[in-house]
Amino acid sequence: MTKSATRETADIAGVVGKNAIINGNFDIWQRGTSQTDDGYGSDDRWINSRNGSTQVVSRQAFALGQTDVPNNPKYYSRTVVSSVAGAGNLAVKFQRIEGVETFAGTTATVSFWAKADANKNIALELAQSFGTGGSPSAISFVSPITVSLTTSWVKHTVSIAIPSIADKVLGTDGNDYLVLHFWLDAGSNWNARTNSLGQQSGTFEFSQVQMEAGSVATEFEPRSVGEELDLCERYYETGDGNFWIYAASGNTPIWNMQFATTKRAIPSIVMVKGGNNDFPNAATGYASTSTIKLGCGAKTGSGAANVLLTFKASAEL
Amino acid sequence: MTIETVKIQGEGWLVNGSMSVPNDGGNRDYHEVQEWIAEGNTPKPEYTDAEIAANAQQEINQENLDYLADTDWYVIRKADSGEPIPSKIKKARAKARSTIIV
Repeated sequence: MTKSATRETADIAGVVGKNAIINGNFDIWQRGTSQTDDGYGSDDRWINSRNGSTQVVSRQAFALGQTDVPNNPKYYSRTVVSSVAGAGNLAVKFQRIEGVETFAGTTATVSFWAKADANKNIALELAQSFGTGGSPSAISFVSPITVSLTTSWVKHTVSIAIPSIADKVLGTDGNDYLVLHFWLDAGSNWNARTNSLGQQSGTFEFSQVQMEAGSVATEFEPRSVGEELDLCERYYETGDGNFWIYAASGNTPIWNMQFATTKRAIPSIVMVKGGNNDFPNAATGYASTSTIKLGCGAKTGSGAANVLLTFKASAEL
Repeated sequence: MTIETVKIQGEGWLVNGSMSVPNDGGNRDYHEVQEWIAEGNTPKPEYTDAEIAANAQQEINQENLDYLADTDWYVIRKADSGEPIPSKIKKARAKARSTIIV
C-alpha cells in the first residue's frame, strides 16, 4: 500500500472542506461516550492522553436552542482532570492530522470554543512528525501558545506559522502527521512544550474545533454527521456481520466483508463473537485496507448455522 | 494499550488474546508490539491445531454451561413446587451436559 493511494481516497470523498480537524464538532463517538484510560477511547480521532493524573472524558449535550455557541452543535467534549503531582504527569487532548505536509510552510489558524470550571490557562501546541520507517527527520515542535479560558463559552483564535518541510525526510511507513495538542495539565518535564503551563485540576470543555489555512478564523464549517462519520471511519470503524453458512462438520470457513470506508493503513482488528453457534473460535480477523477476513474454527455440527460477529478495526495514527 | 500477551498470528500478532495486529509499519499498534519486543519480551508461538481445538472446546463448554445456568430455575421450581420441567428444556439440558468435555 502506498501513501498516495490512501490519500487519494480521502480526496475523492470530497468532504474535507476547509477544516483539517476531523470530528471538530464532536458528533462522532464510535468507541463510547466516556473514557478514563489513556489514548483513543471516546470522541473519534481525538487522543485523550494522561499520565499520572486522572481524567474523565465525556460527551455532553448542548441544551436545545442554546445560543452560547453558534451553529446549533449537538454535543461538546468535556475533560475533567484530577491532577496528581509529578514532573512527568500530564493530561492532554490532541489530534493527529494525516500528512505532515498539511499547512507546511504557511500560516494556519486554529479556532475553537472552550470554557472551564474557573479561569484557567491551557497550552496549544503543534508538532510535525515525519513518521517511521527508513530514516525520517525527527519530530519538530512549534512554540506553544497559552490560551486563557473563562467560565463562559468563548471562541479562541490562534494563528501559527507552520514550519516548512523542505529538506526534511519522510518515513516510509506512511504515518507522518501534523498534530494539534491542547495541554490541560503538565508536570515540569513538559515546561518547554507548554509555556510552563504547570499542573492543575479542572473541567475543560471544547466545541467546534477548526484548523484552516490562512491567518483569519472563518466561521466554523459544520459537516453532516454522515460526512463526518465517513472521515472518522478511515481511521476507526466498528461493524457487524450476520452470516448464514452451510458447511459440513469440520469445515473451517473463511469469508470477507467490505469495510464501509477504506482505511488509512492495514487496521488492527478486535473481533467479538456473538450469537449462536456451531462455529467456535470465530475470533480471527485479519484485513487489508478495504476488507476484513473472518475465519472460524472447525464447525461442530452439520447444515446451516448463523454467525453473528462484531468487529472493531483501527487504523489510527 | 497495555500489552500483556503477544502470540504470533500468521505474519502478524495476536495481542492480549483479542486484537489482531498486522505486520505493517503504517499501523499504530504494530509499533507498540515492536516496543514491547524491544523491551526484551518474546511473542509466544502461534496457536497449534491442538490449542485451537482446546480453545474451541472451552468455548463450547462455556456456552453450554451458560445455558445450564440460565435454565437452572426450572430445576429449582420443580424441587420447590413439583411443577415438571418442560420436556423441550429437559432434552436441551441433557444435550448441553453431554456436549461439555472437560
